[in-house]
Amino acid sequence: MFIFPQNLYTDVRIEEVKTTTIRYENFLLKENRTKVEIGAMIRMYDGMRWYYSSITDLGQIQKEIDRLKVIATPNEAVNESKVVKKFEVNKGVFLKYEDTNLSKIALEEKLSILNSYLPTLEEVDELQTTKLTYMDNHTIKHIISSKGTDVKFDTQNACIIARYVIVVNGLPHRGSENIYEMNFDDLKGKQDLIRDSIIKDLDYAKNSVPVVPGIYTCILSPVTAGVFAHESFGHKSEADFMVGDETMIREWAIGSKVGTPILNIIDTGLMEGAGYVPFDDEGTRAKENYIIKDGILSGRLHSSMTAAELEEEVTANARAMNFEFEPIVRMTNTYIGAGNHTVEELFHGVKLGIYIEDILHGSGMTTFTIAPSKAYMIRDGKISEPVKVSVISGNVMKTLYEIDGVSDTVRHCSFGSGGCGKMEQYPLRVGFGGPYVRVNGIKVQ
Amino acid sequence: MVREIIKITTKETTLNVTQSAIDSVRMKNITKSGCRIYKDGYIGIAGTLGDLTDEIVLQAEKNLLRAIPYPYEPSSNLERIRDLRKSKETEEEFVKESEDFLTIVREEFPQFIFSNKIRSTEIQILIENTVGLKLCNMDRTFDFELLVKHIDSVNVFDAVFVLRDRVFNGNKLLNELRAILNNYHVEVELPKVEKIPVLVSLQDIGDKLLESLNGEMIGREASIFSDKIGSKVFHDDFTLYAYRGEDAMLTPFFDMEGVTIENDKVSLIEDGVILRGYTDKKTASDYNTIKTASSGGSYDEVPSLSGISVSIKPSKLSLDELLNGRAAILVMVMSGGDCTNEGNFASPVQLSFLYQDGKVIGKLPEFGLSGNIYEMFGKDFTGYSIDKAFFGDRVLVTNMKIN
Repeated sequence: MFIFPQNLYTDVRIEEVKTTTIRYENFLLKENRTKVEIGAMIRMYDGMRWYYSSITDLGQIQKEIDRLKVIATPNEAVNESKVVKKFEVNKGVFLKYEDTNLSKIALEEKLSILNSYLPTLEEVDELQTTKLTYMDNHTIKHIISSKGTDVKFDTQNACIIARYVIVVNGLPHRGSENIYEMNFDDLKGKQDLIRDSIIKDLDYAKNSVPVVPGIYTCILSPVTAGVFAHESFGHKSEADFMVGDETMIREWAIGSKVGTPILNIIDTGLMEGAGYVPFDDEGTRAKENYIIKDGILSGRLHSSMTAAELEEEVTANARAMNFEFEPIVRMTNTYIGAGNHTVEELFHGVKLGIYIEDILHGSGMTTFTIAPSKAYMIRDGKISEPVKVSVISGNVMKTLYEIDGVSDTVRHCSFGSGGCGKMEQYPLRVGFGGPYVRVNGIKVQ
Repeated sequence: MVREIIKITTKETTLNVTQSAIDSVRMKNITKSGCRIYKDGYIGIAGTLGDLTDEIVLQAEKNLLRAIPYPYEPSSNLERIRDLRKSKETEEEFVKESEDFLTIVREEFPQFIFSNKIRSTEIQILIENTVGLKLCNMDRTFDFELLVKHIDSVNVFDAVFVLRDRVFNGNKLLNELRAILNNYHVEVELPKVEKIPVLVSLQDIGDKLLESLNGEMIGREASIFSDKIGSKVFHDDFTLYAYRGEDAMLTPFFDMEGVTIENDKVSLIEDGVILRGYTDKKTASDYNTIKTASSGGSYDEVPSLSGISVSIKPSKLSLDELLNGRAAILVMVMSGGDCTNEGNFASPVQLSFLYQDGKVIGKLPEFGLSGNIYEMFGKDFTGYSIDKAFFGDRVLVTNMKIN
């Protein structure tokens, strides 16, 4: 397909992304757009330095390869370099969504399904502003390398997103609901999800009171637990932060105890959802990767480069936001594994605490933070009055030991908009999930 | 029928830094073109990567059938070209300067590991239509976005240093690195006071302020400012502009509807009085207010109210004059904070330094800051330094509560 230069490693990632966006703002049609974006990222490695180029004219790929060749320094031993040796060689065509390809569904059908959700937003008078959006995305990626990889695969998703502002007593409260599916027909008939969210947000807006700041036992809902796992430990497991850093390698040695024995954190691109990537952007086949198993650090997330540097195995976590960027180490679907308590048992053990039901955003360095969108007091084991909380936070390494209960069922969550940010590459779709998680010693403000 | 084209050309060279050295070079030269057709109160849009083609123009005309209302006059009869590019540095020269900068960094700061990006970005954006509009903005910046980690630290990173300028300004960043990192090991106690001046950026504490100034939200009574237009609720010295002047780098002087504003700025808050929210054409029309050139969106989207670029009116005083000898907290990393609906803000501060009399004194432990939007920009607002004291930018000074 391409003439790859001798004594250099080269790969080409071609992306064809077909999207639809239809949006009503305050019941007026504001956007109705279909588009196709095609581009390519070319990477070249000479054993010392990487060279990348992103282009939109696929007819120029060979010319771009030849241009990079001039900049790079040919190296007879490049194929024996530890990085190149780490690249998996995969071949084949894996178009899972050929029969249900969202880009082949008529625009009228997409508009019709969105219209079926509009009346739900008219049912509550207190909704002061509304946005209702249909979005879909069908992406085909084709990765070809000088080492022999030639793999083509697809991913897709469709979603309905409702966003609204409820105003009670002059104070705005933002709410949203998100229906995320891999196939179009699965979006139908889920108006109750949006209706229930609006009713709950309305109750929260009317009745929530300022929280008394302090240190509390918190129970995290599955989506909150998923974001907690992502922010608190997921980013720390991304191996590009460790390359060449002896302190980090020593501190994060595989086999180290990092949390309570009931804690398991897993990342996998195999699972359908926002983090579904059957192959990563280097053509490595997706795997299930335990980051923490029974409280012990058991793995980390890798690209071929980081796996080579740390002498570990590739994990299929080299991902790029789109063809304009090179793949870096990113999460896929990250979740906390199930425990053995029922949800009732978890709550029963809390005399005074806070239940974090839903979130606006989270962050994680030494200190993790979660900004809740809905939180409730727990009194004598029962969910009580809604409370307004700016942010909850804790020290990551202490908090992982403060988890003392995990429920027995995992729920996975995907969001149609937004995603994970890592430096310049935002947003990247990722999945979150978990059971209900009880954790002590959380600072609530 | 009016035809309008949008063309955005981005030339970028990005150097990835790992272990305080360049490990990759990424080059980007991408053109994105959009076509809008305005007819009978509707808008049809189509776009493509690369140059505009006849096919895209036809597609935009066909997309009128999608019946997206746009009952506003296209911008017209204005031609202006603004070229803010200051540097003609070649790709090779940029790589060489960056290598030289990193050589000094490795020599002077062996206790720290630098990573992430150094970038040269050149963007040209053009809007042109058949009713006499031709607006073009050209700009080029050099960005340092460096993560810094102490070699003994178990954090993913400890500090972030960013600097954007229209010339490669490694020396300015080196001076800031010296001022701060040379005091990294000097640990000082958090002052035992309830409130203290903090040195932050508007981005650190201003999300709720900007969200609440959305003209659509104000008009629909969904903002905490809806009943405060015309009222003085902030400090006498606090003036906030919707701003598209030369100080705003990589920001064109027009918005995505081709709207411009006089002198490239318009007051949203003046001397503490909320005058208006920021608007696009629709919002200005719906609520009978002025246009603030705040329409955003990509090259192939219907423009919408999302393109806010703001600036605080600088004080007449420098940072040290504003502080007048008082100790202050220089916030380096403050991540994860948020506001309640009432405007109560709280956030952990992951990295900060004590600053006094023009000097960084030492590193503070992690702690929390809180404040209320009406206080942070009201009685607690101290000023916005006239000098670009840190990170190539002016510094917002306000008093906040230590938690």
